[in-house]
Amino acid sequence: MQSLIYMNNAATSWPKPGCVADAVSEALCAPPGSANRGGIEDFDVFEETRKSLTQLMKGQHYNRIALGANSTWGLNLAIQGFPLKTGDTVVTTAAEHNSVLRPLYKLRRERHIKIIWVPVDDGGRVCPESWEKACYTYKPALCVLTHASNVTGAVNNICLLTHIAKQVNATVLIDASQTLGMVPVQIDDWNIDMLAFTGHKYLLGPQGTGGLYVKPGLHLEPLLCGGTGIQSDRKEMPPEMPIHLEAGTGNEPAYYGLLAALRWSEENPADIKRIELLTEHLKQGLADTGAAVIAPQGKCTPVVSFVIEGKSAAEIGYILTESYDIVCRSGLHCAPRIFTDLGCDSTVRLSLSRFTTEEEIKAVIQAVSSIMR
Amino acid sequence: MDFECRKTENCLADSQIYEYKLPITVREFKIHLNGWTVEENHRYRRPMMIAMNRGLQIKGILDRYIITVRFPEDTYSEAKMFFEAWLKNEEN
Ligand SMILES: Cc1ncc(COP(=O)(O)O)c(C=O)c1O
Repeated sequence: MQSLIYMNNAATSWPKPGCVADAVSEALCAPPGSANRGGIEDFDVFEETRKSLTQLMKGQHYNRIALGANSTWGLNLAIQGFPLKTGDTVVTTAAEHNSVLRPLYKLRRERHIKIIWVPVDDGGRVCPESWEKACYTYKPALCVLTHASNVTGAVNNICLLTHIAKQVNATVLIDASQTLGMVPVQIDDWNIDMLAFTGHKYLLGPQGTGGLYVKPGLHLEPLLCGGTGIQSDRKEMPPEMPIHLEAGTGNEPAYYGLLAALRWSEENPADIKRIELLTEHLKQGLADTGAAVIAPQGKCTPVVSFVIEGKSAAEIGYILTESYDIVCRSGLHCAPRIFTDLGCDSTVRLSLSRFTTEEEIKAVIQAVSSIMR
Repeated sequence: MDFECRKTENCLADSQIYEYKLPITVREFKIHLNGWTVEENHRYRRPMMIAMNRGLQIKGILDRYIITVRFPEDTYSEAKMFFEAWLKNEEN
């Protein structure tokens, strides 16, 4: 029997390094960290994770990272916690995920903000000229954009796009769900105000981990209020970061897993050239079968979207999964607005990881060519 | 025949898709599809079939016990009720 081919890493990565499951399991078996005094000699998994993430993001202020459930949590915190008032404008892009779109729609209903959508090119990338035009025309209070499209893999030039937004004094929120761990992120050099990330994709950690970086000096209203273990006599959330944004007991076992993954990745850096080469092989191989592959020029994450004329994405996804044990995703990928710009109504998405092999790529191409025949 | 039903997780625009676990294989179930347009594909590693009838689509791997049914978005609750009543009435 042939084994499963996992090509759904843009949704959640698999496999994880073995040390991740070990760390989660050990954390569940050991007395919880919160049983300690939180003293100088006690190991604080959240603090160590913040430090490791700060290093990865090339930042300096580890206590500016709020840790929660995932990037959806971080994005909601950023969008709903940012002081947007009635009539304020948010500039965002057609490539955004529902975890950006839905909080924005909610604020449009509740606070009557204005949302401007910057289109993307037919590869799913934000065009700097359109971005600049929108920023200068609408003078937004907040700009929100994804570092990379989760549908096409196109990586945006965040350094340039942030620089443009800063020219009109906008605050910039980056969704790095698809990039952190796979594409370099430089929060300080790129002058990013807020950055949401998730632990279970290219960071190789468990689900239920992720959060938000908030630049020093920027104040957000917490989305949730509750216990913090400190200053319990106050009626409001303590003002110190990151506790200001972190009510309730954290997912300590999962964070042990994420920390193990981060440390493992530091010791075993991904061979990005190899992953890019495999992704190219896949795009070329699929195109050779006659499939219409979305192939953005320039820097991309290992995500490949394609369609086949005369067959729905749902049907192709079904055949690949059920008949060939190739785990993929078909449909809108929770980014419904991008499809107008891509010129199709849905895609089949294959997403690789550092563990994907050349044999798996060949098997996927062979399976797709059997569908084409 | 008896069946178990569950809505499937998906990310499609028209998302009225349900899985049904049957007491017979899809190959055996096929015989019940009188009046449907049935297409079989034996080229795939696990052969499968797709059947269409009045906006309903059924997919299944021939040697398995699960069918995936897609109901038309606009009339889905009626279509689903009708389909399930029909399925219930069919002898194994
Ligand atoms: C671009 C983008 N943003 C946000 C998210 C949400 O991530 P999570 O489900 O981990 O919160 C995803 C996940 O698919 C994504 O691809």
